[in-house]
Amino acid sequence: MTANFAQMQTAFDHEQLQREQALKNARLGLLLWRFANGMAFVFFIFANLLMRNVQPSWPPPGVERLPIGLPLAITLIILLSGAAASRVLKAVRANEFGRAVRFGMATLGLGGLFFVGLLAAGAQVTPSGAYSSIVWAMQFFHGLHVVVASLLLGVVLLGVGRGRYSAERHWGVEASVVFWHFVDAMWIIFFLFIYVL
Amino acid sequence: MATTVQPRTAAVPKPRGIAKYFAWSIDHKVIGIQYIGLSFFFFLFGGLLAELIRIELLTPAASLMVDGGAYNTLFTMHGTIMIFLFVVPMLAGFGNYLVPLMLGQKDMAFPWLNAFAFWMLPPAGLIMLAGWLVGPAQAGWTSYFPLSGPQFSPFDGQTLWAISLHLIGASSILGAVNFIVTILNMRPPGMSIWQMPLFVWATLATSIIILVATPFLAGGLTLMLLDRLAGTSFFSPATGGDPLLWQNVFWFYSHPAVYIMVLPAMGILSEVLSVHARKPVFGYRFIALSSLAIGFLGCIVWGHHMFTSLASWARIPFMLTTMLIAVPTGVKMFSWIGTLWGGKIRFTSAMLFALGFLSMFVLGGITGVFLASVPVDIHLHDTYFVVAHFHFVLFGGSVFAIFAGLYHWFPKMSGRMLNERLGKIHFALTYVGFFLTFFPMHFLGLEGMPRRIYTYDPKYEALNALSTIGALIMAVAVVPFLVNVAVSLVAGKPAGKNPWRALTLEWTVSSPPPEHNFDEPPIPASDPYGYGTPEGAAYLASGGKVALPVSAHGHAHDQPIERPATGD
Repeated sequence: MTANFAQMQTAFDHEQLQREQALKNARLGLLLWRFANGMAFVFFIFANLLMRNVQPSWPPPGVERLPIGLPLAITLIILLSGAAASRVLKAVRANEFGRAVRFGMATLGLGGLFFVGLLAAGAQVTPSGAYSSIVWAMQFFHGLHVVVASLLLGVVLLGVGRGRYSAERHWGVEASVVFWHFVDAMWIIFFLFIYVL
Repeated sequence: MATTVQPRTAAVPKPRGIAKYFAWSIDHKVIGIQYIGLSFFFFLFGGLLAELIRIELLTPAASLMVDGGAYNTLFTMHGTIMIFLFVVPMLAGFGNYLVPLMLGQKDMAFPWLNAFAFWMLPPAGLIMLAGWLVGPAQAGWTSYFPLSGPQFSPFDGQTLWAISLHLIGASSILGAVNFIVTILNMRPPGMSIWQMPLFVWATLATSIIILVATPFLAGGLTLMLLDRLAGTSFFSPATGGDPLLWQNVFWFYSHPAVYIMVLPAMGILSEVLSVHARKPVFGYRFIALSSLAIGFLGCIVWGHHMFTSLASWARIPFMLTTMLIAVPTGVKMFSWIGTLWGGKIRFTSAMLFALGFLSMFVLGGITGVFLASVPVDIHLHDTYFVVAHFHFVLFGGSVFAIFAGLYHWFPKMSGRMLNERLGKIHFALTYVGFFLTFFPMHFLGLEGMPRRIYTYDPKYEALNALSTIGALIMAVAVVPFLVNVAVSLVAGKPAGKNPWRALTLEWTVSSPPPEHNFDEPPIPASDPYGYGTPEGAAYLASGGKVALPVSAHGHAHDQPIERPATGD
């Protein structure tokens, strides 16, 4: 009986250890993924800078500077969505799953609003060769990440609704929120390089 | 990537025997062999293309080719396939097979992701080959604009080329994430980072380079695809684009890619030289850290590929960083020579290929320093000297190391020894054939023969003929290897656990290893290269059961790690 219990305890510890190891691995894996993904964003900035370099001015002569109002508005929206995303994780960690879903829906809603705004910002660009090409490419690349981040968060929220996660075990929630923040941060940098600098 | 590990019930019976290598598997050993098998197929295919190139160049006039376009396709596909579908995945295959075993683990950190990364490659290969159906790529493996633009490459093969490389790059990034997590998080107790096998160090450095550089390849290919398919103007000067943009981003990836292709090869070398010379590795920490140094420097030298098109102020910094790479590379070379010095060298096939690497890579490295010098490079730019240089690095380096690795670990992977006599014939033919093919190209380049042409001035004929003879010898050299592998798989001498008496953990399990690798957590040797030392001898004598407390690197375990013999 005692031996049996000891065995069960060992097996339990073993599983616990494995779970901790898996979580540690997943966290490092996501960090490395964000680094590589971030390098792809760096690539677009690098391309942007090189393209400016061959032009006498930026935007090139004859091309108008893009209006900053709408981009600024969607930047604020994506910042708000980031704040909402943080609340999702906080709520899950406090075992408040209803609240988590509500904040999650808010995050997705703001993300959707941002996406529509991004499309409108893309429509503000008139075709002008190099300038419009790089602006569109950056908007397209970031938009793609918003879509992927929304899908991730959406799937995870369905899981939260079905009670798949707990305050102790919620790697899926953590990963999707962390990725959402990553996509937010990348937009701020892109915003600077497209509209301000 | 949920933390819940769902018990996978085997609803369908697992494929056995050879079939399992053609099916989805999350076993890193199966995946490793899948990588090796697939890339070896592409080695043979890319080799065939190379033979066609050399046969065309046997005589100055056009002989095999109807026009230059067909020839352009040959060298484009040869270069692309050898780099992206042979050397890179081949070394990833070694990494997949060996890293978990060397770290005493059951598998990689993310087994499913590992399988997923592999299975991106067969479609990528098919997409690349499908180019021949729609008009294949002709712009060289570098695909410079305007050669790769709509004006000179209107056919869809160039688009497929970019899509294929996109998949390969993504696969490579996922693999790198997996390697780094496995190496940093999953070392066994008793193995500090300074006790990791040097192949693991090399894989770590390579994976870091992949994470830094490969996203640039993906970005550059995205712009190329947008230009070709969506009518943007990134590279066309007519609409305000910049053709140098492609060159910059391409080389920001492709120069580090040289180290992606040579660092794991150097890792293989450190293992093979030490084991077969029965000597501890000389300068372990220097070899380990020089991989990181090469990785770092490798990311800031890309401009040396563009000396002829770069702004003049940027030339000198790129020249200096490029020359600096000779320092960590030299550290490795001298450490290997120090390893051999006074060793009890066994001239096995694996060792011969490793020594082949040492002799040939030195030549490729030295011509690299020549080419780093701006005036020399401007003179030799786009000549056969460059072709000679990078083949000495990539074939004389990476391919020799790959063969050294195959001879060294084939017994572990298959459970059977390769025939040494056939191995030596393979080595001799490869060594002579390789030297004869590529050494004359130095002179051709110095005399001004441009690369990527299919007809040439008759004054270059004699050296070209020599080169073609060498290429044919190399083609013959593959035959004994293929025969050797085929025969040994069926009737080779059983290898046993540890035919080379090596100290790294993969040799403490049966050959081939069981599916779960280790029955119980293994105890690593305190020094993975303690050959000829009392510690190493005791570890070998105990069959990997005892690691004595003090390592040769001056690191003491807190307590002797010992496990009672279980009588296996």
